[in-house]
Amino acid sequence: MLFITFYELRFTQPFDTPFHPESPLMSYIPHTEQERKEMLAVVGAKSLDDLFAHLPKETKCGPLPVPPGLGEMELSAAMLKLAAKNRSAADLACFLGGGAYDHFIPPAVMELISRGELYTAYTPYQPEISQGVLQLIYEYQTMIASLTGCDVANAGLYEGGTALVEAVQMAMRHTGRHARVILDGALHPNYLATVKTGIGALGVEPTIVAPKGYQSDLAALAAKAQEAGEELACVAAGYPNFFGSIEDLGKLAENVHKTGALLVAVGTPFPFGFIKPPGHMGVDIVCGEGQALGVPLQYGGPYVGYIASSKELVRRMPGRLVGKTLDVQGRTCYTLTLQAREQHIRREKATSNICTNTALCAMMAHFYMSCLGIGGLKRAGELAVSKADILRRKLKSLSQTSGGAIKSVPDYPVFHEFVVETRKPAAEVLDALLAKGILGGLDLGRFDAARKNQLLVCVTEKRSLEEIDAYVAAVSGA
Amino acid sequence: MELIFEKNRKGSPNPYFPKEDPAGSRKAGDVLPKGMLRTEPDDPNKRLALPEMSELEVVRHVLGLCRRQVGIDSTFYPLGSCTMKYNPKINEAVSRWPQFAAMHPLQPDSTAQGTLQVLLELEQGLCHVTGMDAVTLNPMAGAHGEWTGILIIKAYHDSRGDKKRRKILVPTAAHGTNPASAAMCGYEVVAIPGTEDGLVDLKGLEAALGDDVAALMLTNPNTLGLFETDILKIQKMVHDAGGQLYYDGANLNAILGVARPGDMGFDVVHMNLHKTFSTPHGGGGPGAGPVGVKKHLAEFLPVPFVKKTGDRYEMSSDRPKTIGRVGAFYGNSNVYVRAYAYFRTYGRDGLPEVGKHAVLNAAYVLAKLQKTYTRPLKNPCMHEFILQPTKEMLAKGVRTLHLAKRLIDYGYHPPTIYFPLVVNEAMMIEPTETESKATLDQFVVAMEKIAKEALETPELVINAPHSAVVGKVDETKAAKDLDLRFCACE
Repeated sequence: MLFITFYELRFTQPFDTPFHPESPLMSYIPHTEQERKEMLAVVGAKSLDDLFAHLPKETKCGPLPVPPGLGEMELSAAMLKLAAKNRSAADLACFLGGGAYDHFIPPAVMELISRGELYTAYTPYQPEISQGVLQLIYEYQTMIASLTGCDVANAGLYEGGTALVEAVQMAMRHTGRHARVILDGALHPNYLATVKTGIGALGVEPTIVAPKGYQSDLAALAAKAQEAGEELACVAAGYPNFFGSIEDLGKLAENVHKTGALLVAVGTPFPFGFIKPPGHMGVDIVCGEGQALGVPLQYGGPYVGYIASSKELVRRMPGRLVGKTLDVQGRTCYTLTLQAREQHIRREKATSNICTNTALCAMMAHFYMSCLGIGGLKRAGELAVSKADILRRKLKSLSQTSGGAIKSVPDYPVFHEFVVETRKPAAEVLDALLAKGILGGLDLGRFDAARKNQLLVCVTEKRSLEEIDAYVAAVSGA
Repeated sequence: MELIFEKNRKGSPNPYFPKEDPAGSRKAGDVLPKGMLRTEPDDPNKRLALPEMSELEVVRHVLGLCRRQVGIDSTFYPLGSCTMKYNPKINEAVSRWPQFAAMHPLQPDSTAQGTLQVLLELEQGLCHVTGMDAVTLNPMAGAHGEWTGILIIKAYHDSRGDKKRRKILVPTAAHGTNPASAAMCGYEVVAIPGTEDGLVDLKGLEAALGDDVAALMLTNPNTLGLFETDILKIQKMVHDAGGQLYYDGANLNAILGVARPGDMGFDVVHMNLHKTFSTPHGGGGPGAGPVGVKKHLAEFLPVPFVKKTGDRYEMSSDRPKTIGRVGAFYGNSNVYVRAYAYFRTYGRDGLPEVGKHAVLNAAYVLAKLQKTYTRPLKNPCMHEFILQPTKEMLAKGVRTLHLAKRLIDYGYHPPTIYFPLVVNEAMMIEPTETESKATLDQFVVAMEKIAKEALETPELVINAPHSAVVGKVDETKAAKDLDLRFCACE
């Protein structure tokens, strides 16, 4: 009975606990009884309920069937009990990626993000008192643009899946073509699903090009693009793709451009300090999930979608942009700009409906990239690649000898994430790994039953050689 | 202040990673395919521009910028329609515990029972708060919730073979996200006029309703801070015409625990938990925009969702008529940890006090300030209200923008200005329930002083702010000479 829900509680606990307005349970409402009386007198109301006298009585509710409030001390205890029911990547060795990555985040990042000036601020619509957030976002835009090898980046979007929806719609607006969109089948299945919802709402059904093994089928994408011709708004390809594969997109970009359409690259930006960024390969829009740049795993959110492009596309960009300008005295300062693209000005003709995005996570990414610097980001990438390569080779040699649970380790170029094929369902292999305290990867059968013997494994710089050996030992016995 | 890039010290070492390569490793350059390593081109704009400096230098840079920034923690922030209430610190602390913060979204349900329980109980709690039958936590902000909600309405009409409904009605005073979200769902947006009292014009609504209308989107209290007292009539009119009623939850704080959109006849509701449930605004997000629906729409909610079988929680996507996915994972889960903590803090008896004190604080400030400023609308005030400069102030050339900027000199964040667009020179003030009478009294004094200045020394007000780190910003230049990033070539 330790972990009963509060809905169970309400049947077992007396519900008539008297509530005292002065009780510490209301501590974030600071009014004393005396102040409340004085204020009601100024307003000309007899009671707080009087303030709602003009509402139709049918709309008013009695006490809600929820449990009574808790003081901070009790709340803390209740939350601790809930927390104890989780086993996080802090106490399991995390080889799980698939769009969210367990990287080392310098504690300075959380320390800085805890500044009340930053996290309790609103969107910087008043530049005179928001230069802090505005300059940080301008710097973030610079870092993302340069990391992706693009001219410009925006202030952030919700997360990777919706960032891709925005990128596709941006391409539609730029090309004026709203009929055809081609997606790489090696994109994250949840991103594909999100795009289907997103552009399906506009009556557009994306064409999905099946991967070739675990690699994006770049030739088939180019062929489809040619076939779609002048109806095509864009092609979106993974880099790295969902299976971790990295391939040069330069040729595909040329082919897509021949049709007048745009090429969108989708992927985690973490490797871009180390490998050729999409913007150096002729890609027009680069987007994806920025979580790997210093944002904790947080069970899927909040994250930060990023989007970057060539400067020709900037007026089609969704969301907020911070620009540099001068104040009346000629001092350099920053402000939200090109707001005429946005919903609060343009309403139904806006480039997107997005308003609140994830500025705080963008600032986290800023602090992460600032702390690491070019050297740190390259070193983290280098370690991730080396360690992933160690595990991959060990699993490969395992598959060629005793085998254990591993049937084969397919060869294709990757950064820090790769697929292994298992003898029994990947779900069972993961159970065996979990029993040893290891989050062993992602069972691809979750997305496609035909892939139930495929396991997507990620090794970040954070994994130790001991953890890698424990992984190998666990699968050789499984 | 100097940009972080201008403080660069090339090659500055950092303390994060070992220098030695792991035993038995191959160099990354040998592992990766040839030609795939990053090389820096001549174009300085395409080069990697990350700062290189010590951690201490980064910390000082950020703290320097903090001195050029205000949050609720710094000062009173009466920003209308944004509900800038106090963000309790315990909620932040809890959300940062590794047991919540280090949870991978794809890890097995068996290892995520605590998080799943938090999410399910929050869903249930939000159902009660709004009077809806089912809630999804997928949407990541208010606008994302609107978009999700409108897609649900679309799926509902489509499921009944009712494909002629191509229009969404939106009051002229609505938030810009309403028409933008409807347009992103492929709808034609039709604006509904308001009455002189600032409410929905029933005649105008009647004229716009028909068998081509999918839904009416409404905020209540509306964007003028007034309760739509005809809401029961409105809901009947919309439903009689076969439409659905959508609730924009931007102003839910006004009625929290007192009245419920579900009981007003709304079919779909989105909530902005970064407003009503005190999760921090973060300088422009993250937010959280859960959507609640009545029973007849529940089968269309997005996936995934949390389900409880016996005493086990699991993440499921088994919802055959779903509109689909609206994001890669399950919404802003760690924002929900904070919202859940807030919800448990107030509980049954505390939640109504939130709504009541939010209205009390607004009504109190209004009662004091309506003597000094013009109040365009006379209906009872809810959690926020609109003021305008008086005729005398306008005659001196003092406009709302100037009043707002002068407040900065008095140490306050300005109210929302020039919204809603339907009121000239609007200045929208929302104090929220977490401000004390003493704070409100000081604010009233400042506003009265500014009113006096506007008449006696208008130049002082017009040229404000005088004390901020920067003066009036040249926004035209920002848009004309577009500069969105630092370039090493400068």
